[in-house]
Amino acid sequence: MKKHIYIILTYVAFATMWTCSNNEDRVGESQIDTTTPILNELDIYLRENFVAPYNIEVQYKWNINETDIDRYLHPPYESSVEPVANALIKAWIEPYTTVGGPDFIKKIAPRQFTFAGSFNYNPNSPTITLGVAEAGAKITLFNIDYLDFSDINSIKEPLKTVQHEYGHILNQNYPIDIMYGQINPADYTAQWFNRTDAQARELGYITAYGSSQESEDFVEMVSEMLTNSKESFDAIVNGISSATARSYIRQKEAFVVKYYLDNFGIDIYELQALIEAATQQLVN
Amino acid sequence: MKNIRNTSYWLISLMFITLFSCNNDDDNLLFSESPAERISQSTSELVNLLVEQQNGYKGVYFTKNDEFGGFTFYMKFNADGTVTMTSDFDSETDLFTSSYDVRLGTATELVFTTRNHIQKVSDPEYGGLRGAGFKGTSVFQFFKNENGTLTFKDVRNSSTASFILEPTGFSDFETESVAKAKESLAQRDNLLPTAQTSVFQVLRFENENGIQNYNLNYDSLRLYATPRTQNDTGEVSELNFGVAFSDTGLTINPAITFEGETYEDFVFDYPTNSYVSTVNGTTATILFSNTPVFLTDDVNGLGKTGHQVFGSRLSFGVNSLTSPGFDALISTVNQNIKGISANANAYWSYSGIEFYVVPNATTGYVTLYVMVYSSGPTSTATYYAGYNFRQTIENNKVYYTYVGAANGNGSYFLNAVTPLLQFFLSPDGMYFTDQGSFSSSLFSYSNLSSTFTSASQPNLRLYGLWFN
Repeated sequence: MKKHIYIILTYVAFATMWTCSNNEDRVGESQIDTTTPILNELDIYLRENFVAPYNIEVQYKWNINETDIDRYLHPPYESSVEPVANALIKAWIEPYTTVGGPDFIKKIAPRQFTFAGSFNYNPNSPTITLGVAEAGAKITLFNIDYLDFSDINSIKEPLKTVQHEYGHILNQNYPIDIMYGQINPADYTAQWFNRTDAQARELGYITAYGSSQESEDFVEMVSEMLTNSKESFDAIVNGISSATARSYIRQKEAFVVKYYLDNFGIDIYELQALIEAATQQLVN
Repeated sequence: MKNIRNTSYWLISLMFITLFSCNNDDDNLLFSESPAERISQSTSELVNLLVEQQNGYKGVYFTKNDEFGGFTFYMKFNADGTVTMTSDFDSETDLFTSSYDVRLGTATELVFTTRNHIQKVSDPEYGGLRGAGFKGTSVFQFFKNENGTLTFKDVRNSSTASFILEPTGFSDFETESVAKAKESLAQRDNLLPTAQTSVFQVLRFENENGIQNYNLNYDSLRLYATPRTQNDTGEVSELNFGVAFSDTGLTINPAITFEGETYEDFVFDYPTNSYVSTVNGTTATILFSNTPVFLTDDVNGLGKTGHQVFGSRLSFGVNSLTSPGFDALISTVNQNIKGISANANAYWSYSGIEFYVVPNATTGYVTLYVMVYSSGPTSTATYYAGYNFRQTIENNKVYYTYVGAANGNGSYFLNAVTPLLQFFLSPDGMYFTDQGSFSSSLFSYSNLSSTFTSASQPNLRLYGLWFN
């Protein structure tokens, strides 16, 4: 009987080998279209300055799925793209690289920037959205067609958005101290837009948006510190009437300084100085 | 022994399963090409159609035909991924080049990937339509090709948007496209009242059954018309369509059907200053008329809650319901004010009116205040020049008769503002119409708004809001 079993098993083995051997269509070249798309000079600039060194895509060509489909937005002029991209290199990537090392931005960075030319109006609200960060992977910048590179305040607008959103991305990797939210939690409000920045500062928040919630408060502190010189930032804080509010903001500043030092070994005041110098040089 | 037999049965079963499990009995290929090749074919079909027109396409784009009119574009697609275009969206008609792409999304899509004329329809900064603009898009789904005419749709406004490209037939795209865009823009002006023409426009159908008139009710900001007419029983019926202009006239969308005939394309007739669509011997005509087709009874609300103090100020911004004729009148008033004295010439100007239309309990008068703003020399001030009228409402019109100046400023500025007073003192009365909530190039308020139109001089119409 054993003999029968061996015969059958041998048969099964051969049958298994041959029945599925109909392999005239062998694996050939990939069927996925890997043809290089048409690249203009701007595409090549972005590949050389963002994709190759940092694996960051700057997407300026319109894809309706990359922004909120319910908003009425449009792509930027091609001429608007390079100045903003250059500002990101000079006033964001290079300063962080100087203080954090050549791999800092390579390791922690959004993998994609999306540029939109138009303002992003929020429905049923008197506000516009300047930028959006999504899952630490992507930052969308709006209204880049309306930036004036002869005005430093206009240049600082997208940079502040990036510093703000990058602050969120850093927080997603290294959480902030839970005690930060205990400094002055009483006046956080979803109706932050009913406050002016000046009113928010008198309550101990660096901006009105910073008074919306703890995480926004932290990154607003970061972005205000990194888009103002130390002198300007001190002038803002020292201009607040309320001593209590000044104290709150100085406590928050200390948290931010410690956060950068403990987690990244970065002296944020050195970073602040580098960004300020770079931003000044961007003014036409 | 029994176990061995069972094992054999199982092995034989396995043998048959093995034999048939890999039976290759379906050798019919559904597609001869790979998915990537098929995607490439569907996109390259559209790319080829776009690029093969050496002198480009004329495109008419209605972004949302239940809310807005449309615009005409002339665009030339190049093989290097660029597109050059102009449009009649505004007076900036210079050719501009940007990028486009053809992709496979849920359908084959034409995407205008960087900003050009076509993005003006999705510009949320557009004055008066802030936040959403004309609700247009940069992404168009390819729908069909009929004899070289390409039809696209917008995935967002799928049932109300249409973008249709047809070959231009030009011999020189660069020069002819811009010229056509300018002619198209001029046609838009032909539909607007001038300083001399009546503000009343009528959509008139003429066929063997006779004539039917509609008040056109054209909104020049949205390029949208809501023609209304009233039958013998007082019932009001309404049509709705957006308007896009061409070098020879206009196109409406959706097309309108009246007594079995459908009207879509109108040609401008210069001698009669009207747009005419002729179908099977019948016509639809958009023309200027000295009187409206029918009068509403809105005027009966004058003096009641919500219609007590009317205001119109230059600082409120611009709405096309204030006619060019009225703007010219204000210009005259302004010159008169500045002519009063050297001081007036330097510092004074007309800034608006306030009209208190609740008759005074004692005198029965209503009072118009003309506001004159002084910017100096030492401080700013607004002078209110007051004038009393008697107000009578008859046959759905309001009539004003002059009583006299209501204050010293009124006497002082009387001669200067006389053209404005004469507007209200129209011998044939004034047409009064409610216009919904207030909107202008600068603001949108929930306040009710209305228009006063002179029946004697129907080129004069004033738009404003009610403070209470």
